[in-house]
Amino acid sequence: MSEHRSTPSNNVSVQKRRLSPMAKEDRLAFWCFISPWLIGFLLFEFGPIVASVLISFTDYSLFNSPKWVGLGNYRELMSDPLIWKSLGNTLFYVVFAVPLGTAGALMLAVLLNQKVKGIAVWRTIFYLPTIVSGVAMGVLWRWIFNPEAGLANTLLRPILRPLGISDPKWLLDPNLAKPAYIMMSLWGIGGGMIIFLAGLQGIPSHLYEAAELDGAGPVRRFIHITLPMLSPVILFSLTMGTIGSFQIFAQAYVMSGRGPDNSTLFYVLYLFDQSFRYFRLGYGAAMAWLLFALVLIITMIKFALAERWVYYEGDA
Amino acid sequence: MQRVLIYILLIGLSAAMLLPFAWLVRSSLCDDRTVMQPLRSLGDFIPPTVHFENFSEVFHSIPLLKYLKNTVFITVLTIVGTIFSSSLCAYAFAFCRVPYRKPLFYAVLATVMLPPVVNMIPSFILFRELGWIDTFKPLIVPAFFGSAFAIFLFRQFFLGIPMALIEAARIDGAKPLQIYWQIVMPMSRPVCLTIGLFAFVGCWNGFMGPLIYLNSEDNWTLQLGLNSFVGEVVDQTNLMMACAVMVVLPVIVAFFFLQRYFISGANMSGLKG
Amino acid sequence: MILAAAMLSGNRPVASAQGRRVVVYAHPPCPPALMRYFDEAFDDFRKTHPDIDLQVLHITGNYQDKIKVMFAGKVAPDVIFMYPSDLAAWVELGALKPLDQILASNGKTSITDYFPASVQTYTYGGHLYALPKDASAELLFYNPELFRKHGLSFPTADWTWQDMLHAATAITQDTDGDGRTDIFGLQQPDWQTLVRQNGGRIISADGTRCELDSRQSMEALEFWVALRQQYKVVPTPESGMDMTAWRMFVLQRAGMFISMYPVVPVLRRSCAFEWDIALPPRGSGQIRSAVTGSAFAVTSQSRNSEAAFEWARWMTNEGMKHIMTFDIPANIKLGQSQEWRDATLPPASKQVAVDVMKVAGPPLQHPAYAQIIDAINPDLDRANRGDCSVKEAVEQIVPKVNAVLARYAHEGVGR
Repeated sequence: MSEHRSTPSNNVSVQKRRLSPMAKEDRLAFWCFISPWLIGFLLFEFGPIVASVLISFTDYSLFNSPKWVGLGNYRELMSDPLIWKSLGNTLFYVVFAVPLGTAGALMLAVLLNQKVKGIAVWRTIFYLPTIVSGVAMGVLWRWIFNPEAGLANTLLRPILRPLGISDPKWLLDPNLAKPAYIMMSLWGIGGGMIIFLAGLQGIPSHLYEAAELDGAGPVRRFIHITLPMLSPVILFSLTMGTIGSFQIFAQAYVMSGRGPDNSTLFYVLYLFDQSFRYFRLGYGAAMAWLLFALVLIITMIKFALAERWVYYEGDA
Repeated sequence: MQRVLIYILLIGLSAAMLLPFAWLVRSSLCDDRTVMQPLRSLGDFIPPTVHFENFSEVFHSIPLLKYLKNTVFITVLTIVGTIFSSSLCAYAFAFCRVPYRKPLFYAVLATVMLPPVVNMIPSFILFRELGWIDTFKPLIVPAFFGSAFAIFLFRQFFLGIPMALIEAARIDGAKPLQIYWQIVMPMSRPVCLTIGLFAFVGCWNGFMGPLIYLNSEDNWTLQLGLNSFVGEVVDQTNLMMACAVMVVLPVIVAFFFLQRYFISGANMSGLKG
Repeated sequence: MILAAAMLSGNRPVASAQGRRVVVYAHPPCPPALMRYFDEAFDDFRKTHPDIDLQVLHITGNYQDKIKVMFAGKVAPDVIFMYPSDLAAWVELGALKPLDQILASNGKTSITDYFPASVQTYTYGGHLYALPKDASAELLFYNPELFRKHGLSFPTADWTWQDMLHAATAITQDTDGDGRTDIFGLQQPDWQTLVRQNGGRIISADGTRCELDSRQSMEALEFWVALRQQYKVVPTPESGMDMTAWRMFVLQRAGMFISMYPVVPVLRRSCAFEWDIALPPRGSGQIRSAVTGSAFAVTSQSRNSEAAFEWARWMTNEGMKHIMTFDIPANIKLGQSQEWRDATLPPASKQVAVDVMKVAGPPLQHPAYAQIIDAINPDLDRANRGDCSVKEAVEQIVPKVNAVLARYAHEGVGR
């Protein structure tokens, strides 16, 4: 696109369009600058990726050498009911956790970009849960969602009892286990908040000042300035959030496993079971590539749609 | 009025957000019996007796300082590596006008779409061939070759930098590396900080990598040490929680002091220049 | 290509610099408080075996995952920890070395030194694949104070399910009168325990079909669900959640639970009250308990298998002395030694932990164990929640398990 713009108009050679010095420089810089990633990719990732493609066409038990089975694993994917069940569970999680998490993180960032007293303390508090993760937290969440003595129900009971609703059973209820995971994920919005906070610093304050002079209230300023200016970061947050949420695994691995009626059998949890508990790494690899294809398509669609709503100041 | 609402909202939300950390602190002060008893009411949150000696016992049980040294070493190098390599790549994707930058950018993103579980064994074999097992290299070296997360985030921020600024510098004869170092990077302090923070936390809390690649106890990280309080049947949960508090504390302190760099507003946009 | 080639080769030193034989032993997750006893054992072994270089790999968290990755990378440790239900798959995949011959010829320890039930548990396809470390098997743990309070006699060797139910019913109480039970008679046992006690089987002896629909199995499963739904003597999932069997017991909110000997150190540390062990009650079958003890296996990738064997052998004999305060030796002589029984720590009836080996058998040994259990649990959970009858659940389960078995028979494990 930029290429013909930079092609000098007085260039006589038609057959071989020569590049302007600047375009040449661009090309050189491009390859130099991405070379760390490119080399790293070839060194550390290309091999394992190729290996996992090959493994997906084999039966590989981890102890024995892989045995070629062609498309066998992929054919089995189509008829395995738990694939669809786990994909459904994961999609449910992604559809709710990602938009909620992004919106929550955005709100929080806007809130904590104001002149509020003790801003350092507030920001630290909201960021805290993302640092305190891992092993220590499994017990906490199980307590929170314990139907009898847990925090969630202790708080909800005064509201639900008068309405005649009995205590929700959360992780023990096939219909509430996934919502419980979605709620849990909201404790992690501090990470997104930081990214949006960084994004907010890039918005020139004169834009707000001008809008204020025009009589725009806080809501209009948010919609007409903050949102478009942050749209590149929102795209980032949605994209990485989707990719990450499709791979939800660790939480379920330590908390409830497959859950009642396999309701928290998430895709990667099932993939892990197939690979490491059932010793079927070939099938696991095929599962991984199916997920890859799905996430890739979703990401491409997202980027195609992004052309319409993401505003890059640099392009202007 | 608006102020009051903001504060009410903040207090309510932060009570919820403080819960995991409060739980951690609470558990770290329990004796080994109380720590595993489920709470029957909110009042049980405060342990009947407080045991600060758990913290000193952690030091008697495991060589925490050794693990700290290892973790700091890995973390510092990872942060430096991630910021430099990823921002360079992102510069290329944001500013170099070459036709194939889009597909290549998708390729970068695609590398994180494959669940890491799948590459665990091939990667292990690769690092074994390199003779890197039981060294810090598998945990550090890849960071110097860029991470998709960081490249993507840097790119999004770089695209917000007015192109006119870059073009002007080029007309003045600035080379890409000069533009990167003298114009783009100074304008990108908040995002560098963000990337650094993510790399820091990811590395500090990383468990699967150290578990798989490190063998000798001399090379253990804080997370491996933390997990050593968990057994097949018998756990020393209160000590684990005390250890977790100590592991988390430096991150909190670092964040507390670094967050102010997010505050200073529009002067970062560089439009003055 | 390089990777494929790399997959087939390994590189790990066979001998250390001084020409001593290297044995890498992967120790499972173990908190520092117990680790120091093992450290004593390691030092003792190094002192008595100057020709062997024992290298301990202490693995914290996900033990099996790490071992499996090391296996795939052809750098597996020489000696690993093994649990009963994993054995079949690991043997079937060729990960372990048979130990019968070397055991028969080593001249120090013989197969008869171990409890037969333990030996049987670690025997698969006619060969012994691991040396049993502890003789742990399922036991009935009980709270004598709660028994006395309700005028009940303590569990005896000839206790039946009905006796257990009788005691459990008496102990179950709503102490504060809020309509919710506060003390339960029993923690719901694992359904496999009851099926086994009633002479039922999950898989038929020839391995071709699921036998959860047999009379014995059905009876056991009905009893299992009835404990919760009908008699209400075990915690509901709500009140029992996040409370592994021993937690309810430690809180004195459960009068009995069936578990294994490794919880003994937990109870010693956590119970300020008196507690003891008894034989699990009998159903209509002979076997009342499953062996749960762990064992040391020598991996097929070990290049010093004799030295590796010696470490496993030593640890299950001489070395056991270092860890006997919290473990029950699978070695008969040690298990019956005064030294072990006289230790002043609870439980008082330690002899029971040894006696149980006479009525204990191996748990389900099947290379597709994980798939079988995963196929059973969702439907059985529904029955346990009261969402369907046991009969309906089993009707769903049997074809699913049979499909796993057919697949296994056709393709083998890992396919």
